[in-house]
Amino acid sequence: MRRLLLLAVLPACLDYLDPGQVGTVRFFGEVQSTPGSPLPLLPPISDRDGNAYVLSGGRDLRQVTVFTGQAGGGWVSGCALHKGDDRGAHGWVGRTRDHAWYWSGDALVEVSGETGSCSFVLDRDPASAASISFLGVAPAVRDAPSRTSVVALIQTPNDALPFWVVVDLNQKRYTQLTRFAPAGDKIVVLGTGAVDEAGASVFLVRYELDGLSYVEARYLDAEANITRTVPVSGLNALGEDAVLDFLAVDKDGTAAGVLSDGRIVVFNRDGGSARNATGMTALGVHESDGALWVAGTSGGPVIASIAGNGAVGNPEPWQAASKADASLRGPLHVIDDRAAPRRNISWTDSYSGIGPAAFLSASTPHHYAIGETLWLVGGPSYDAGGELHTQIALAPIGVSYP
Amino acid sequence: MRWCLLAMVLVPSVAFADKHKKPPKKKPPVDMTEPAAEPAPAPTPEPEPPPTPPVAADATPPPAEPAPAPVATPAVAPAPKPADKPPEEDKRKLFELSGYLQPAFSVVHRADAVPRDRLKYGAEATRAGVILEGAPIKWAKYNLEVVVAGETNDLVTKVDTVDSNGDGMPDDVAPTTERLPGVFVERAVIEIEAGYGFSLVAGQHRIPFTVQEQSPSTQLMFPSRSGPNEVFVQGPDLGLEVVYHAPEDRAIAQVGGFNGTGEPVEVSTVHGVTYSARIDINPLGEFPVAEAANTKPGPLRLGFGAGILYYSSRHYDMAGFPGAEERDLRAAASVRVAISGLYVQSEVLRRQRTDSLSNRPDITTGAYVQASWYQPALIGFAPLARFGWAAEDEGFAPRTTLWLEGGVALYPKVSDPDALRIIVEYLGERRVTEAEQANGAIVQAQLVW
Repeated sequence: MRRLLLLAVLPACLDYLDPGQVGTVRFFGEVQSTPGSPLPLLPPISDRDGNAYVLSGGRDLRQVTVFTGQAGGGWVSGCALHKGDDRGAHGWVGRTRDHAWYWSGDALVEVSGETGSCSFVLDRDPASAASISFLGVAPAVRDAPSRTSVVALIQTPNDALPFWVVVDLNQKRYTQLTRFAPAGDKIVVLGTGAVDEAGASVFLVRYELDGLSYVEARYLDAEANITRTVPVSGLNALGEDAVLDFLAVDKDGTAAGVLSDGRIVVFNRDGGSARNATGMTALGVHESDGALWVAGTSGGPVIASIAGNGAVGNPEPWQAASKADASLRGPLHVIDDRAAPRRNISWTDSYSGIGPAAFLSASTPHHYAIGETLWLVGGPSYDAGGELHTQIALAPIGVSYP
Repeated sequence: MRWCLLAMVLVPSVAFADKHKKPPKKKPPVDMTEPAAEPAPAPTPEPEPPPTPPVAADATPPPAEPAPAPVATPAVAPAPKPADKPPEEDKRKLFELSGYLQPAFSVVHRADAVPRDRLKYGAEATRAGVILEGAPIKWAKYNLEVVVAGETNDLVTKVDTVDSNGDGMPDDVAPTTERLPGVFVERAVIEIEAGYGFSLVAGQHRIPFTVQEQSPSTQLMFPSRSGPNEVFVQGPDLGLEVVYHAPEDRAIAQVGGFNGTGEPVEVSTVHGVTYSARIDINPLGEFPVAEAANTKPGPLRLGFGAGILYYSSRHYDMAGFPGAEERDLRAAASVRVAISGLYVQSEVLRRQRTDSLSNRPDITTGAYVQASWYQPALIGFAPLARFGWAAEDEGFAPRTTLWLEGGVALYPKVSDPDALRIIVEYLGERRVTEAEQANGAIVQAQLVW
């Protein structure tokens, strides 16, 4: 209502994309994949200045490639920072005015939107020079006048237990060091989620104590203080990074995510459990306007609501996703934005670069504008030595939830 | 400079009368026909000689103009005027030198900052300004205001490379900076009158978008402009505008073109022109934009205004090839009322920026209201209050900021309150989205000479 009033008062109109409508498509590079497997792409992100960031990688891959698109046009690629050989890329954890950060393996990496350059954040402990492993990073970068920070769970080979820390992303220092408690064994992070814009987050952790396995959801504020710890059942058999991408959290603190075994985990500040999704193949849990939705397929894109008590509603066709998927299948007018001078081309055999259809990502698609998200489009490809090289483009798409 | 071409199309003839920008009670400019010291009856010698113009050539009029009396001669009767012209038309004011000093001390506490930045205090907000203005030709004036601000520029004095692992490849750079005073050209314009109320201003000055942006720095109600105003428009720009003043300033219209970037077009990777238009309606007569002037006792005055900025530009990459086109539309509406020392001013602002590439509108909305109530007693004093709100990036990730200011302005010299003013105020900034706040206080003295 407020927006409508303002639009009526001022002599200018704004055009947003309708649900399923595809905006300007920017071709920026190629990714390699094995024929028959999904493209190794994670949901993109953008910063306040309008620079776009694409991370090519996956939970089963031990390498990443970053593509950075400038707000005024043009792309830079080449950053491939990753750490660890037992975990893949998790995704983008946040952005500021002209920077973004991704968590890949045990590394937290900063990327500049202006130049495309990247660097490790706290690759080594400033005091001991020991290699730091980011066991978990909240996808909630707090961008405030005082500092830019994120909450994480870190550990070095010298530490018997990991530490909750606040990472100052500008100074590349950690503060508010708190040792993980209790002093258990085999501490792993199953998944992380952002609670609010002020930097609060939730970590789903598993540890063993006296031979017993515990899974807990730990809510933290922006200063890495644990504000709530609740048990979550049904996850004892799962290991590190069991949640695909990130947890989605609604306005009341209810969190949910799709697990690597296909189930859904749902919990709130009183606890929760894992459960099966009925009537659909769950692919992701999304947050939109403070509500949670399970996105999946059942003969086409479907979506189901998650109530505050964790109950999953009946799936219904997701019209916006179906329309967007049809639009992406071309023919598409594409701007070859890799290098100047730019030129217009056309793709006739394009498709969603993430998931089996548009918007079917494991975590919430990036909130790009009012009713819009950023999505990746797969284009022409060729086989070279058993590797499939596929052209990739970035596109804003109108999105809506029922 | 495309804005020059635009202005020439808009203006068939040139003129100027910048009444609204001139603070009240300023000393008259140095007149070639009068002594520059205290105004006194012309035949009576002044006790002190007037200052001598720094450049002797200034005292020499253009050959085509009537020869006036030398400025350097103190207490001399006005030179004889040509018989066929009224005395007023023959006055050409070479220059007037004035200025101000604004020492200020501020303290700001931001609880969430790192320890170094948690409590900041100092006199960084101190400013000094020198204003040189005059009218070497009777229909053309100039105005130059240079501001020296205390410790506002970080100058990189040294850059070391960091090779933390000794592989011969730099891993980082470590710059060494030094804080230095900044020197800014606040205003450098020529003003040409065309008659019939029309005038033209060309040069560097603040874009007349909001009513607060037009107020001279020495005439602001608070030590600085409001937070919302600074979100939407900041600093002077290079440009040209046409101004129309209706009789008694009951209506003032301004149309102009500016660079939009504040820097020469040639060095920027963004090329474009900012078009500006503003209209102010003062139904009860003259109502200056100088905020401090309106805080003094006077009759009821009303002012309604609206401004608009349109910036159309194109980005170029470093190789010189074109990128996205950008359209930036900003609008403002203002209402003002003054009566018997009470002055209330409020503005609503809106910005909508779109481009040809992103499909993401950049939307910002803001507003502020400020009030002052002047009370003359042994000294003059005026309680001040201001509340501001801005919501940035509304289409992407809304970021809401609130500002709350309150304080008092003291005027030790009631007979000439603008000569010396001392403001003591509280300034609070609350970042709603980031759940962070800062509290501070500012003490500013202002001496105008």
